[in-house]
Formats: sequence, structure tokens, C-alpha cells
Amino acid sequence: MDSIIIEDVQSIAIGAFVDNVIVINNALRPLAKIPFPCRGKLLAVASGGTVGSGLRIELTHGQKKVLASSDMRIPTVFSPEDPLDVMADEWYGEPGEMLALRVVNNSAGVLSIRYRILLEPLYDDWVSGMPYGPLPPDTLVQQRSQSIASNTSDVNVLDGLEFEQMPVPSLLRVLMTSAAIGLTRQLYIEQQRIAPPSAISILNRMPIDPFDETIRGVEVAENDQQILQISNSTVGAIVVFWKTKSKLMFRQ
Amino acid sequence: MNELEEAKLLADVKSITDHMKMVDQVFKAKGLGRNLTVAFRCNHSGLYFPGDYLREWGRKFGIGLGGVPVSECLDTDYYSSLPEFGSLNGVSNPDQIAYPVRVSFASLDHELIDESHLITNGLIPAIEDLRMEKRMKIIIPKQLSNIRSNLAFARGKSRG
Repeated sequence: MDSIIIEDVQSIAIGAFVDNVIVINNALRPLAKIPFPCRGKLLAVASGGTVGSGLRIELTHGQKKVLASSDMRIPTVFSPEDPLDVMADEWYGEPGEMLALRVVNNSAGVLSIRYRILLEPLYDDWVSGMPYGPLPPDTLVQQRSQSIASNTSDVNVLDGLEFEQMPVPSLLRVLMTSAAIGLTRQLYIEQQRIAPPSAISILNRMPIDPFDETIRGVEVAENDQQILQISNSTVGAIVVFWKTKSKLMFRQ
Repeated sequence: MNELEEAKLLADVKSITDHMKMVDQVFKAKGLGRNLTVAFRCNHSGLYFPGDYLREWGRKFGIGLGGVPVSECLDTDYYSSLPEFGSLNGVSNPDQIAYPVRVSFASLDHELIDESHLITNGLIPAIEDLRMEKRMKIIIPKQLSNIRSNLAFARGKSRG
């Protein structure tokens, strides 16, 4: 059984909210329905826009969200590169589930998104209707850029975001970069400090897995609050780029 | 160089340095060097970024564009299709339609230019225009008048 590769580039209108960018292209519409048990991977890049304006995407398969509202990298060559632009790479789709890649453009300019979704079959000899074993749990991802004002501390950049708390126990990894020197980060789970204040990479682009990993293997209990605190000790605002990957322990 | 030549050279240098005030006055009278500033010329647009563009890379300029300074100037992509009118694309108003823009990533040249030239030919930094409103006010008229553009037709057609 062969993998399915969905790749497309789309222009997203000013202020547009696109429910599923895959089906804008009629040729790709049949592929939005997952045909076999598979492991999925999403890569995506945007043509412009940073720091809270530009394109934001989220991915769901069936009713399961694996990528919460996230910013993308702006590459010199407008094409997603593996592994540089992998947004979500460990999620497991079931036959009949609908893939929905939602895109929002909150800028005053038309921007392009280029994405690639790979669906890799889990069984070589599977045919429609055949039973299949329980699939592994998904890894939930969110990735953002935001400005940290001078001489301040953002008490929790995850505050109010969908994956601030997980419905089942999970293993957390955090990847971070900043646009300039002067930021430190620390991680709390509930009241427990897991990672003390540490400097982060100054590569001035979205974090890349695994190069920009700063915290890994944190056990997060069900519904525990994850607090990612970032401090700026300089006299100018600095933009931080962060990504969290939460590997669920049980399939929802 | 013999001793005589060496003495003459020293005398000439002393004569020049003794008259540096005069040299300054002549330069000032001619207006040479006055109001000049260092700027970075974007090789995509021919327009200028301020002289601290490289020093402030990642703080005021080029946020999210990597470690190597390049031009953050936006470029219109006339080869991509226009977003179509319709609910599937989230387009309910023809004014939402335009050609997509992207960061040019062009190279930069270091130049000494007149300050007034920087004011009249300066680029709008992305940090001062996060939602691209100011820049799109410049770009949309260019897209409408470009001979490769179908934008006026598409917007008119969408209006029905």
C-alpha cells in the first residue's frame, strides 16, 4: 500500500478564515478523507507575517486536533523542507476521518501557504472494512511567535491556549528560539518548577525539531497546568518563537 | 627618500594640519558631507533601510527571517493565482482579493546618502506595520496598475 502525499500552495485572502484549505483545490478533495489507518505528518510554510499577524493554521483529523492555532516559518525558498518545516509529525489517522487544515489570515495582505501532508499506511495488506488494532496516541503541537516587552516577564505564554492543559497524561517537549539575545525561560508544572531560568537560542526563526529543543521528557499529569514563563532583561522588546510537543500517554 | 625629501614631506604635512580649520571651512561652505547618513539599499526595491538595519537585526528588523540580514521588503507574486470569491475561501468582500505578497529576502548594499533621500525613499519596517496595512496601501495600487495583473478584473467581477 502506497503513502498518500497531499501538497499544495494557496493564496489566502485578506482577513480570510478558511475552514479547510485542502478542499479549495478540487483535485485534492477526495484525499481529505483518510482511506487507511496511517501515521500522518504535516509540513507547512508561510510567505510572510510574524509576531501575531499573518497566517495561522490548525489541523484536525476526525474530531481530534493535533495542531492548535500555530504560526509557520517564513523560508527563503518558498517550499516546506523536511525536517525543517515539520509542524506535526506523530499523529495517527483512522479510515473515514476527515482531514481539515484550517487557515486564518489576520493581516491586511494576501499571503500564501504551502503545505505537505504525508499519510503513511500502518499496515501493508489492509483493505477497507478489515479490523485494525488500537492506534498509538497522537502528539499535540502548538507553535507561536510573540513579543516580550522590555524588562518584563510573560508569566505564561501558554495562558488560555488549547494545549495549556492536557486531557490525559502526557510527555512534554519544548523547543524555543528568540530573535535577539536577552531572553530566559523557565517551566513550571502547576507549582513545581521543572526547568530553572536558562538562555535560549538566538536563531531568529521558528524552532526546528530537534535542533532547538530546550526542555524534554517532562511528565505532565492529566489537567495539570503547564506554565512557560519568559523574561526579557533588556531595554528593548524581543520576539520569542516557541513550540510545545505533548505526546499523549493514551489515545483519546 | 633622502633627508631633504623627508624634511619637505614633513613640512607639507605640517602645513596641511596647520590649515585643517581652513579645509573644514571650505568643505562647510561647499556643503560637502553635510546631512549625509549611512543607509542600506534593498536590491529588490532600490529603496532604503536606516543605517542601524544590521545592528538591530532581530530587534527592530527582520524578525523571524533567520540569522543572516536580508531585505524584509515585500514582493508581489504575480505567478500565484488570486484567491477566489466564495465562502470556501473565506472571501465575502472583493476588497479581500489581491495577489499574494512574500518577503523578498533580497541582498543589501551599504551606502552614504542624503538624509532627505532616506526620508523620501525609505522602506516601512515590518515592526512598524505588523498587520501590513501601511504597506498594502502602497502595494495594492501597484498590483492594480501592473500589466501582468488581473486584480482590477477579479475585483470588478466579484462585485458582479
